[in-house]
Amino acid sequence: MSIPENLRYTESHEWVREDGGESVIGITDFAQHELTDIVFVDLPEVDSEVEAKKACCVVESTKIAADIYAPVSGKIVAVNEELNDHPEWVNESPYEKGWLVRIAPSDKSELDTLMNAADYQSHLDSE
Amino acid sequence: MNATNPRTPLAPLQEEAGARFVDFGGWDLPVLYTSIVDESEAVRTGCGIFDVSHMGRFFLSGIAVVEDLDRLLSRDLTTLLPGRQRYALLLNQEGGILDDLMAARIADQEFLLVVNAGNLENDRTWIEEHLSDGTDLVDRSADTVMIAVQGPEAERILGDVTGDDYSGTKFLDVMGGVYHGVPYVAIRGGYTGEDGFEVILPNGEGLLLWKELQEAGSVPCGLGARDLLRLEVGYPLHGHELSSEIIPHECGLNWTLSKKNDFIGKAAIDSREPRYDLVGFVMEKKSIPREGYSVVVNGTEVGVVTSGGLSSRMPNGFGLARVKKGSVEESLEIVIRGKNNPAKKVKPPFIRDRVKR
Repeated sequence: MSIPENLRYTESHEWVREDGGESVIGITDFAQHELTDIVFVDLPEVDSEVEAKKACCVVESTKIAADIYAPVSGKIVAVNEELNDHPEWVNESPYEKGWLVRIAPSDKSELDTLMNAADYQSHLDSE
Repeated sequence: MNATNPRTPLAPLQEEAGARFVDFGGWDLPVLYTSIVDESEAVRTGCGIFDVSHMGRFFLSGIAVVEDLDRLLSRDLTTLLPGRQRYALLLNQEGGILDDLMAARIADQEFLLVVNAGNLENDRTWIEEHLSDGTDLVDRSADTVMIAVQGPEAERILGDVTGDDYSGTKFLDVMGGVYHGVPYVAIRGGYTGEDGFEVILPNGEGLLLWKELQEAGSVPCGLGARDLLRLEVGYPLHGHELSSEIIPHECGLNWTLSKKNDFIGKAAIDSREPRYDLVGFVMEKKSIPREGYSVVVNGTEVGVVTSGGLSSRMPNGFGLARVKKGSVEESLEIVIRGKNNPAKKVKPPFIRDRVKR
């Protein structure tokens, strides 16, 4: 299970990459493996506001619709529209091509509450 | 996964093949091995194997067995020839669907009923209560396994493994054979819309058959693929499209009702006004309808999605819905996460079956 060192993680298996003051969000390798066969991603509207720990988009596998929770509060500044045609990228490349949304955080201190790679690994081990 | 649920005798081989188990009908069963998409594809293009041992297998025999089943089941069974199988409903006195099942006539006075796992105990009790004294019911669900071998390559692969030739048989034929010294029953059919067989044999030889089918190129498939494949061809599933609260005219199953026989539930059905239609629909855009989502027509809620999904063989999501009778003519909307998504009514099957007629 791949857990890149440079990312921050949530208990609900999202990752965050800090990029020029914005936060790029996706789901972890563990999460995509649990879901399998991602066939549809329901992305939010650009400019909509999201709240930390609330659903910000939905990733659907053949069997279930899974809510993806915003790791930080803020405004959606971009969504990965290529996933409309290639939802399977979330499975194939969860940390790169399968990114979901980009958020301009309203409260950067929320980022400090997220886990680092080692803590996320222990979180997985304890689940 | 539920630690207290039983697994079938094939579970060790499934674990080896990487199965992920889920709770289904009181059992712990593989929902998938690698991918529902890939497994469905294997059934459409090659050969997939499903462990369906959780389903009930009742063998009934006796001098009055035909009359008994003719009264118990919705179909006319007097015209079912030995060596043939027929779909039928088990109804309660009110005409509600206790279960849907496959009835195979093994011999002149011997039948095999294959029933849904979740209804097994209730079905057995109900059936036993309504049998004549001379009719015997033997529940062989625990000491046999049932393997569904499905796909265009099923005939060749099963034939290679058993050494038997099935080329002269067609959809819903029932045949017997001998595999590693023990008798087996095979029925040409299944629940996927593809050509295939359901094979019933003792547990020990069942393990061997699963192993040999896999070695011969069959792909182990889970319940997820099975559910998607059956939905594509519009087959109903008890507990979703069918229930004891629903009568056959409310779910498109009036064709299963015998015209001449006085079966249990008939009087009630004849006097009841159908309240619902079961309709098929396809989404106008790429979104996935799922069980429980509301159906809306002209701003009014008219029903609920009973099964839904997305298949690589269709551009958009599709499903079945139970709606107020006459409420859906052409277009409808499915409420997905608070938003109304347009859909069009379609008469199932969504994809034509390819069984061998």
